[in-house]
Amino acid sequence: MLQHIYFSNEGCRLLGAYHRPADEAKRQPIGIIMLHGWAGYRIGAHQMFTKLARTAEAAGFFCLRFDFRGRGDSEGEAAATTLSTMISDTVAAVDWLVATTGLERIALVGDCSGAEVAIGAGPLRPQIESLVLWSAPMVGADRTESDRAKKWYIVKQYLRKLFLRATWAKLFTRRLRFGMIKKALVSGGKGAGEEGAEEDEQIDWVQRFVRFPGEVLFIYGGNDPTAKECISYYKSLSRQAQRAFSSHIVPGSNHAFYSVSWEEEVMTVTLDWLRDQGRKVEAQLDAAARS
Amino acid sequence: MARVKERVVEIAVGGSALHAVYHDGGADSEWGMVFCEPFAEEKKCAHRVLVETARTLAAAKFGCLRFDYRGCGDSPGRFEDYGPTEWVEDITAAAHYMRQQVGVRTVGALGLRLGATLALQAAEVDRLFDFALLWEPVVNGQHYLKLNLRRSLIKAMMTEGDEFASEEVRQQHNEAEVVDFDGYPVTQVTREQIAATDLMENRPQFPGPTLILNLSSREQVANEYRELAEQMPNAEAVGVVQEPFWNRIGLVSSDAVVEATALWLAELQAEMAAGPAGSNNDTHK
Repeated sequence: MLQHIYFSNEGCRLLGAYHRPADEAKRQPIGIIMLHGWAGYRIGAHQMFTKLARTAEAAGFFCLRFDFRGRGDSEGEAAATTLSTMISDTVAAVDWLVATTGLERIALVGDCSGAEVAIGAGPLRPQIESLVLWSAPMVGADRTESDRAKKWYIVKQYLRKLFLRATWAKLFTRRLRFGMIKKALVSGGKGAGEEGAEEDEQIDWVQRFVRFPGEVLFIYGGNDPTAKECISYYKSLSRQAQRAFSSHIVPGSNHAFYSVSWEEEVMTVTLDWLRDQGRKVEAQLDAAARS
Repeated sequence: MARVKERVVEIAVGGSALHAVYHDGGADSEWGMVFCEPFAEEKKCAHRVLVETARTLAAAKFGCLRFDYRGCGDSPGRFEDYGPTEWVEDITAAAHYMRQQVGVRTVGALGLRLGATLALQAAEVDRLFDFALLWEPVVNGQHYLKLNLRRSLIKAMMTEGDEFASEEVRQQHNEAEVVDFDGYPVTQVTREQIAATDLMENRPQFPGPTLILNLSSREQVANEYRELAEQMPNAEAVGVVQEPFWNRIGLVSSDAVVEATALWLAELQAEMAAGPAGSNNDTHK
């Protein structure tokens, strides 16, 4: 059952979509909170979060999808949103879901910037026990190479467009938006404000990731130009954290999994992994009850 | 900006309850707007702009109703189970909600891209809307589908590399029961309904005051919008320099389009207040 709710954080009213399983007796021991990307909102890229939440709800998970302040239907100035404010909103969301459901274990599912937020929020509440990170950028790292890979990917896309008749038609009728092309190349595919605010630089991102006591699953698109470097980076950080590195690559997929089959694979892998986490919790609880 | 009262509401249509948000224009507000959202991922990209537009207009005493079509956003149903025919019904239901549930006397449509096109189709129903604001409407559905085909071609090129076969992608777009528009399963029925849209051939006869905003890098109005406005009984087309926020991944300032919209609405209100007795806004009591 879907219910729209409001909760507050730092003077802003945030809108959430709260999914409650029909049969609460069969509920999973983990609640899921979904963290959208930088300029997105609670439904996620191509409605992935809506679809994931509906499927998860049917499988017995309590889920919360919400809009960060300055995004979606939440209050707040769009330009004032930073990763730090998003982390703060996430902690408030965790507190809300825990208080509402009585659940003691929460999984954060973050998409792109939402994955960064998940890493930032991970150690801040003991109830956060697992992270599923879709297309996570490298937190606390020099992203020069990764940005270069993204820009080259964009160049390749535009070069591909040269093979299409429609592009030449636009060029001859002066409908090509050179300003837009230049902007895409200069920004490297990043949205306004996504470069990072000063307060975000104060966060010790590496330590947040290393300190996180729970389990983490990374999912990347096989055709995401930054995937290889990100995976290498997080493997190294996971060794530092003495945590097993778990990942899944969706063959052929781009950064935001823009196809029905790619998104289905991401959602299936995510839910299967969360079900496994739930089974581990139940096993622990059974063992504790017996002893 | 002072906090505007807004609340989540539901609109009943076809056995479903559409998710909607109503931005209250205030107790003495007599004007309202129904926001008609764009198609597929354009909706996600444009969402925040539409929210901020609704808040701006509500602060200017326009009650604003934003809603998700069936199968879209937070409304029930799967995307592939619905299409333009149902979405026009949804717009109609939203307009009735404004008049009957909210009690607004003068109701306009504010549509973006395909939402603007659908709004015009809904507006052909007698007296549903009193005025219309059309932001960069889709004039030719065939052309709009071709843009999506182009995106699919590029995606296939990037993914399949040397194995890419453009004819296969084109054929799929033309013949397959369901085509994947970047994660949106679009059925043949929906594609046919979009392709059948041609505002130049099926000249809209909506009589209410209509503003067509051509949002681009130039102030000059594109020919198709100029001609569309000329064909309609009571429309004008204006060019606004505005980044296409509906297909941007990042955040984009929408000041230009909101300002143009607000100015036109202010002028319209003044005109209608000074208008003769028996004009539109006197009939919906």
